[in-house]
Amino acid sequence: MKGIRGLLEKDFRLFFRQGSNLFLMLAFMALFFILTGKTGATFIAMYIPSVMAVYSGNTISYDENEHGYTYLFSLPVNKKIYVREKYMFSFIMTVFGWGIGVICAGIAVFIKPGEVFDLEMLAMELITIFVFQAIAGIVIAIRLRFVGEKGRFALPIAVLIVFASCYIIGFFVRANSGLKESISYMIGETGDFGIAIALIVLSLIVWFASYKYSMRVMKKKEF
Amino acid sequence: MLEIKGVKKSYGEFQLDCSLNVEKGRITGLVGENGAGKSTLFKAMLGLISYDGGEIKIMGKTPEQLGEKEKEELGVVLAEAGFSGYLKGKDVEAVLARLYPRFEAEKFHLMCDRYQIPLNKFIKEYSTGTKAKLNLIIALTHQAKFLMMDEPTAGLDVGAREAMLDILREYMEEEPERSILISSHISSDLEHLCDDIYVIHKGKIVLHEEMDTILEKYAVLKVSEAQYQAVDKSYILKEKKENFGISCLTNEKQYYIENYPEIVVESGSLDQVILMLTGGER
Repeated sequence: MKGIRGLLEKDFRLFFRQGSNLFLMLAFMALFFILTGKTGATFIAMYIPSVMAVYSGNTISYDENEHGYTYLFSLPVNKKIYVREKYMFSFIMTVFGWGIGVICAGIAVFIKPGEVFDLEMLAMELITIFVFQAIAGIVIAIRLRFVGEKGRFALPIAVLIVFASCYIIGFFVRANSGLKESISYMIGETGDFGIAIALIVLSLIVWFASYKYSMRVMKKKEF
Repeated sequence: MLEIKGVKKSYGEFQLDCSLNVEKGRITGLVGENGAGKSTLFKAMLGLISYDGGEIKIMGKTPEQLGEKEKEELGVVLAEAGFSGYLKGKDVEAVLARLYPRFEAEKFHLMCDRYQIPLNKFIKEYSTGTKAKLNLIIALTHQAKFLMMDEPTAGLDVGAREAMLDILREYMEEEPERSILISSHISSDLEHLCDDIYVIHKGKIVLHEEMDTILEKYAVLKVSEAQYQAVDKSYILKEKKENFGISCLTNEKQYYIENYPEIVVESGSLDQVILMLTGGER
């Protein structure tokens, strides 16, 4: 546990030294969206933790620089501890980002007439914590798998692939009215609660798979 | 403290094949030119790379078995590696306090003051010498029993190198059970510090000797062709053609002084010994 505590201290300090600017920028952007009415409270509440999820995975690039890994693993830290800490750090950061996002959404409701952010929406937002954990897990796995410059390109490419897949699937569903109807029917039958549970389970599966994959990638690494 | 038996590692044409021991209470030096295999050996010891054969035991454990507890007993300095440059010196202190239960914060501050390390600055703004000193202080402030240092003096000027070697002497005086393994390609750094020396060349240990023995018994004989033909070659380890004739490395200086008074005998410095061992023939 000492190893994890030490690594967490390092990552939080890196965040406050380097990432805090990003966080301030995020908060300002959220406020800008609220005040200009460009977007709703729900989007704001999701926007901040999603960026935090990606940021927390990207702290790996600080460890890669200037033989950083070589040095870190000469300390009382091993590969298992390192991966565990990265997942723990991303969990803390996304929950922190989620909390800030919810506060921003609250501000939006308070200052914007007609804006709604009720308990049901808060419950849905809670579910997104699981989704963001899965996203953070994927980011960590990609950053561990692709080193340096490759890692920097791999992430946007992965995002592009996800969006492209979603677009193609959406296009295909829209074009096929029978399929669209049956999906709508299935969603209607399942209900909000069922969908929420399915989303949580799917996120946990993705998160766990990414964790296992990250462990495997790290185990094979030599420095 | 450290036992390495026939450790093998191949990188393309480069082949490491080493055996080495570090005893308790001793400072052992590992000298070799750049690319000789020193860093590879350190990485293998710390489990940072796998090895193809042989055995490594640090404090009785293999590198894979080194857990948090065992690593707390190690103080490691690696050439050109350290904490992220985006951290400040004082951040490093906080991280160390979390990592090491026996971290000595007061000593850390004292040493940083003494060696003028600005804790409020980002590490990336430090000079090479300041970074090296910080890495050494990190290794020395958690009561490590075994210091493993790969090129800790790299990039330092003569004054800073001397200061660093003084720190190491003081560290050993505090607790006689401690051990140090230190590598360098600058042999003069190790000449007055180490109890014994290993010379590594092209991945192989070509000499292991007590430092005192090297200074007392090793020498380079400067002989002409005619003298070379006449001289007893039983104690000649290496020879090298020179403009004046032949240089011969011996580990029996006294024998040649007594039996061949006409021969020029240059007392062995570690530099000379290494040059002959790595550049000579036989």
